[in-house]
Amino acid sequence: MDFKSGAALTAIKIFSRGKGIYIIITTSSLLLYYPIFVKNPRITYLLVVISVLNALVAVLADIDTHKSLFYAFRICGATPSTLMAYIITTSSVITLISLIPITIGIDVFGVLTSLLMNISVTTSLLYMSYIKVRKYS
Amino acid sequence: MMLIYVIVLIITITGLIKILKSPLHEVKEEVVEFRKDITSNIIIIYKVLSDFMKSPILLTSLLILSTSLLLSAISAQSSLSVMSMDVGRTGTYAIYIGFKDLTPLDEFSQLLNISEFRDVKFYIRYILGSKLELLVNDEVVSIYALVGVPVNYTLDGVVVGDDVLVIGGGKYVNTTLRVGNNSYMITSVNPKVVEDSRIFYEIPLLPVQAYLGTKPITVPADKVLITTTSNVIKLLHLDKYSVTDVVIGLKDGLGSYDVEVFRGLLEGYRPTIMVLKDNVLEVLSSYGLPTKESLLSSLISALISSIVLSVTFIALQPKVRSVYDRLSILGFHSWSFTTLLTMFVAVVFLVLGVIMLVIINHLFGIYSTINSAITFITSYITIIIFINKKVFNLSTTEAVSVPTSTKFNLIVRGVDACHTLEYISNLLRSDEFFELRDLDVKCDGGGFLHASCRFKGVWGIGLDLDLFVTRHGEDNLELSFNISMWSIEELSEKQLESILRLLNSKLIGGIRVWTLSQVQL
Repeated sequence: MDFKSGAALTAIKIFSRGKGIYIIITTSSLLLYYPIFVKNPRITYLLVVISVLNALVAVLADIDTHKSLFYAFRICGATPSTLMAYIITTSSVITLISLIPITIGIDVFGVLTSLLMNISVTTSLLYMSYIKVRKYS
Repeated sequence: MMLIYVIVLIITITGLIKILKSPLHEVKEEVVEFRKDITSNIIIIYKVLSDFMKSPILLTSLLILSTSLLLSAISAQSSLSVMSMDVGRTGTYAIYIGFKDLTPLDEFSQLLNISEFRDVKFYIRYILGSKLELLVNDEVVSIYALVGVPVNYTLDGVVVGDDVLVIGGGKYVNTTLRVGNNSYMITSVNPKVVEDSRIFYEIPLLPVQAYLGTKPITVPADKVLITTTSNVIKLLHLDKYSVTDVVIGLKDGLGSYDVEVFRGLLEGYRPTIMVLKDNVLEVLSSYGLPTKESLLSSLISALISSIVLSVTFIALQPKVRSVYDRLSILGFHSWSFTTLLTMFVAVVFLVLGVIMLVIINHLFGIYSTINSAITFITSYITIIIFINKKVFNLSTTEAVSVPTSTKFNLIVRGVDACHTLEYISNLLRSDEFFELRDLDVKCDGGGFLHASCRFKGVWGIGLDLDLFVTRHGEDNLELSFNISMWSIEELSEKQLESILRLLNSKLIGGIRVWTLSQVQL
């Protein structure tokens, strides 16, 4: 099995075994209640904040797994671009799931703000853990 | 004064003599005791807690709790509580709004669209701060209250107009009275008629001073001046058109009447609102009740908060472990460590929760506070139990998975070390199960070989091989193999051993065949 497909398969397997992905799916589903049933315009801003926190916690929950993967990728000879691809893919998946409650009943500006914040928070957190792994390995 | 100087001098001289008499090389023995007092414990506790206080994860958890409480507060809903009673058939459909004080019409019209209704009557029932003395027919009449009624309101056959003042009692018939620059016609009516007049159901026309049980005590009719509402506003020198009571008549019945239209008014002014539907009188209370949806949203907030907080604290686990490892060296027990951290988090969360509830009560009101309190209590209990049992409850023993490895020795006869290492290198290069990634060979009498191989069947599994070759006796070589497996995924020991056996059999079998062929040659 070549590196790219093998690494992708292992990353998906490990990621699916982590807590983060299930936590964010659960909380996003629960948060759907608010834009559907609570008709209060002030809830928009809070949902954006909670969405960011959700994404942050989803990454934090599996931070050790991500670190192990970065380490494993490095010892298997992965290039920095592969690692960056992993970071961007993971943060995109988390961001998209966390955006589900935001997209209902919230204006385009709110969705874009949330998208930007979530992707930057998750990417930077993953990148920081990668930097740590690179520094000590 | 002199005496003081003498005493100071004596003390100084005595001190000097003592110093001079004492031996120069005397060393005072000081017993330094190891401090086992409470200070050391406090320092330890401070160090543990300061480590957590600086943790960004703790700050994140506080932010999550605050946001959840706000979410719960914002999603709070309440329904107006209504008390209904049967008052017998009245044939009237009307709404009564009674303010506690004079309220400008343009202000409360923003909360209740008065213009939607056709039959609206405005009243003023106002008790004066100081009595008003009128000189009528050379007689001083003291007035304690003013009542404003709509134009053409009839009292005992007298039609109240803008130039008419009515007083209950006395014997004034169209007597002229000047108030400021305006002249009015003052007319007396039967005080009994005035006292019995009602503006809505049991609400008297006269201002109520107090209640005796449920019976209202009104200002005496002869002490009240009744005129039109606009006249009262002029007499009181008010800038805006203000009223104290509004009666909305609905001739065609109430139709699809909804109490929720009065919510803004009730929350803004807390007036008395009553709705008369023929025989049913509904009294609207300014105190509502939380709805089922509101309670559901508070529970969902609590659930979200509990889940997210639990995960946040799980992320704190490695830090907890490292702090505990350091403290356990100092003799800190695990139970005291667990208790200390749980107490700390409990206190921090409690303080934050109370502050947030106070802020929410100030900003959003009591219903939001109830909702947030439900969220807070539920998530607080859940998270404290969770962290106490799962995060801070550290076991003194830790299970560490041992990597699968094997060590074995082979003794071969009649072969050269360098040739052997070269042959093993070729074996590894040509292996059908493993791909050689790294090879390092040293050969000088004895020898050393290090190889890193990757398993071809599954990605992310490999092994490291270390081989030492030493001379053993005259013609023998001792090969010491040390092979350890590694895997990115947490595979079972059995699986790894199966993969390891593939290499073992290759090496042992290959070397056996090769040595036999070498001996035969």
